[in-house]
Amino acid sequence: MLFPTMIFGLFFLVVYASTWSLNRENERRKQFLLLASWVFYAWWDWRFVGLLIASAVLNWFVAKQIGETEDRRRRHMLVALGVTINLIILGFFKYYGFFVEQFGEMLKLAGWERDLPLMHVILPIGISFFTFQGMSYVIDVHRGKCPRAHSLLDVMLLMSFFPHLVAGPIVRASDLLPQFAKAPKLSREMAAHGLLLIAWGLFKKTVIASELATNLVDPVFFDPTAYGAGDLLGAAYGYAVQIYCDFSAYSDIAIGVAALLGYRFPRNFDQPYRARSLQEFWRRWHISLSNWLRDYLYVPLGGNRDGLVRTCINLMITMLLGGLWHGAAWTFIAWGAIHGTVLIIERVWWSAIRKPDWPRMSPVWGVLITFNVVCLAWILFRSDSFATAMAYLQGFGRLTAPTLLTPFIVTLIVGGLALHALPSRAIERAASWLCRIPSPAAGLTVGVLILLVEAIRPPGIAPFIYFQF
Amino acid sequence: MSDDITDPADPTPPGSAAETPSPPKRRDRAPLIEFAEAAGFALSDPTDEDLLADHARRWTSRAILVATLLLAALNSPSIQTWATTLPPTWGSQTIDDLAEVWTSRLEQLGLDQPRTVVHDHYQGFQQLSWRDVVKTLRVRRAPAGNPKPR
Repeated sequence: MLFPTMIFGLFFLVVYASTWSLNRENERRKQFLLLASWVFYAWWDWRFVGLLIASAVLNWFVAKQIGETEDRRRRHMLVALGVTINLIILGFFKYYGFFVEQFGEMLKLAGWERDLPLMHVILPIGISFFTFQGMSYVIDVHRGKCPRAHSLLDVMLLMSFFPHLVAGPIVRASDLLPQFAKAPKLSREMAAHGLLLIAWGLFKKTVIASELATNLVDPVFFDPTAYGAGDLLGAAYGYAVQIYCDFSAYSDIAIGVAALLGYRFPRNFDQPYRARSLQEFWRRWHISLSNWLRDYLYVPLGGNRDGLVRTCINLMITMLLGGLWHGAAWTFIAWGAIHGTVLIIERVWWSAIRKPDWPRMSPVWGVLITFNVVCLAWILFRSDSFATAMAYLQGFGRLTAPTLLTPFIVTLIVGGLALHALPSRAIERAASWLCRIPSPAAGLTVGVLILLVEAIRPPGIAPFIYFQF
Repeated sequence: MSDDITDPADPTPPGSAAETPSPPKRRDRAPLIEFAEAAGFALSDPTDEDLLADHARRWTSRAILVATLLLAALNSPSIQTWATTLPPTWGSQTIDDLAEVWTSRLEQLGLDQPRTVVHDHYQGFQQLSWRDVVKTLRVRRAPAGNPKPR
C-alpha cells in the first residue's frame, strides 16, 4: 500500500475516523492502530507480519529483563543479546545472500571452490527501519535514556506504527512512547501542518521524482554508454533531485499522517543540498538515520574523544556501515567510503591543516563543492554494479548533444534544487496561516492543492526508493 | 474593607446549596452517556484543553471532509483509473461500474474541466522543445506593434 494511491487514501480515512472515535479509550485506540498497521504491512506480504510481531516481542522481553535487573553485568549481557538477535534477523534477511556469495568468491580465490547453500531470501519491506528502532529501544532502556514501555502493546505499536513502518523516519522510543502513554490531543497548527506536508509530499514524489525517474534517470543508468556527457551530467543531478524528492516526500507524508492522528515525528530532512560541508549535509539528510548512527555507533566507538587518527577511523567505520545499511552490495559500501573519506578530509583540514588566520572560503563554494561530491557519490549509489558506475564516469568524456534534457526535465531539476532556496520553515509558516482560516476554506485549499498535483502527475506510481532498504 | 462581595441583585444568600452546583445525579444523566459508561468508556468532565482539542479535531475533520468531497467531484478520472487497475473480482467490477457512472455524470456537468485544463496545459509544457522555447522568447522580445513615427 503506497502512500500516493487511492487505496491508501481510503485506508487513511477509515483509520482517521476510527482512531478519533476511540479517543477517550487510549488502550483501544492503540490496539486499533496496531491492527491497522498490521493490515498496512500485510498488504505487501502477510507472512512478514509474524516477523514484525516476533521482533517486537523479543525487544520488549529483553528491555523488560534489563529493567528488572540491577546487576550491571547481567544488564550488559542482556543488551548485547538483544542487539545480536536484532542483527541476526537483519543479517539473515538482508545480507545472507551477499555474505554467502562473498564467502564463495573468497574460497574460489583460495582454490577451494565449493557449492554453498545459496537461498533466495525475500527481503521483508522496511526491515532495516524496524530492527534499528527495536535496537534503539533496548539500548536506550539499558542506558536509562528511555523508560521501559508500560506494555507489550506500546512496543509493538512503536515498531509497527504504519506511518514510519516501511521507510522511516526512525522514531526513537523516547520520542514516541511518552506520546502513547495518554490519548493524543490534536491542535489546529498540527493538523494544518500535517495536511500541507501530505500535499507537499505528494507533489515531490508524484510530479518531480516520478517524472525524473521515468524520463531521465532510469534510461541513463540502465545503459550509460548510450548517452553523452550532457545527459550523464543531467542524470546525475537529476538523480540527486529525484532521491531527495522521493525520500523526503515519504518522510513528509509519514510526518503529516502521524500528525493527523495526533502524534509528532521528528523532522527527517532539512534542505540537505544547502549544506556547506559534508558534515553539515549529514545533519540535514536522513536526520533520523545519521543521529542513530552517531548515537549507537560513532559515539560508542569513541567518537572524537581519542585523538584525530582514532576519530578518522571511527568516521570511516560509521560511514562504511551506514553504506552497508542501505543495501547488500559493494556499490553501497563504496558510497559510504566516499562519504567517509570526504568527512575525514574535512576533519583533517579543519583541525590540523587550516590556520585560524587564513581567509574563509565563500559559503557558495562550500555548497557547490559539497553538492558535487554528493552527486558523484550518488552515481555509485544508483549504479547496479561497479562496471555500470565506471561506464557512467567514462561517459563524461563523450561530448555529444544531450537528447533527454528537454526544457521540461531541466525545469524539474532546477525546480527541485530551487526548493532548497525556500525559507527553511516554509511549510510551518504556511500552516500557521492555514490553521487560522475556517475549516471549509482550509479543506478547499488542501483539496485544490491535491487536485493540481493529481492533474499533472503521470499515471501509475513507482515504489519509494528507500523501500528496498 | 469587607471581603464579603455579594451581588445585591442576587437573592440567593451566600453559602446556600444553590451556590455550589452538585454533580448530576445518575438519574439526570443522558441515556447515551450511561450506555457509554456501561460499555466501559470512561467519561469525565472535559477540561479547557480537552475542549480545545475537540474543537481542533472537528476543524480537521471538516477540512478533510471538504477536501475529500472536492476531490471526489473534480478528480473523478483518477477514481476511474484506480478502479480499472483493481484485480478482477465481483467487488472490483462493481467499483469499476460505479466509478464509470460517477465519472460520466460529472463529465456531463462539466466538473472534469478544471482538471482537464490544467492537465492539457501541463502536457503542452512537457512537450516543449528547446526550439519552441527560443521561438517563444524571440516573439516576446520582438516589438508589439509598429514604432510610432517621430
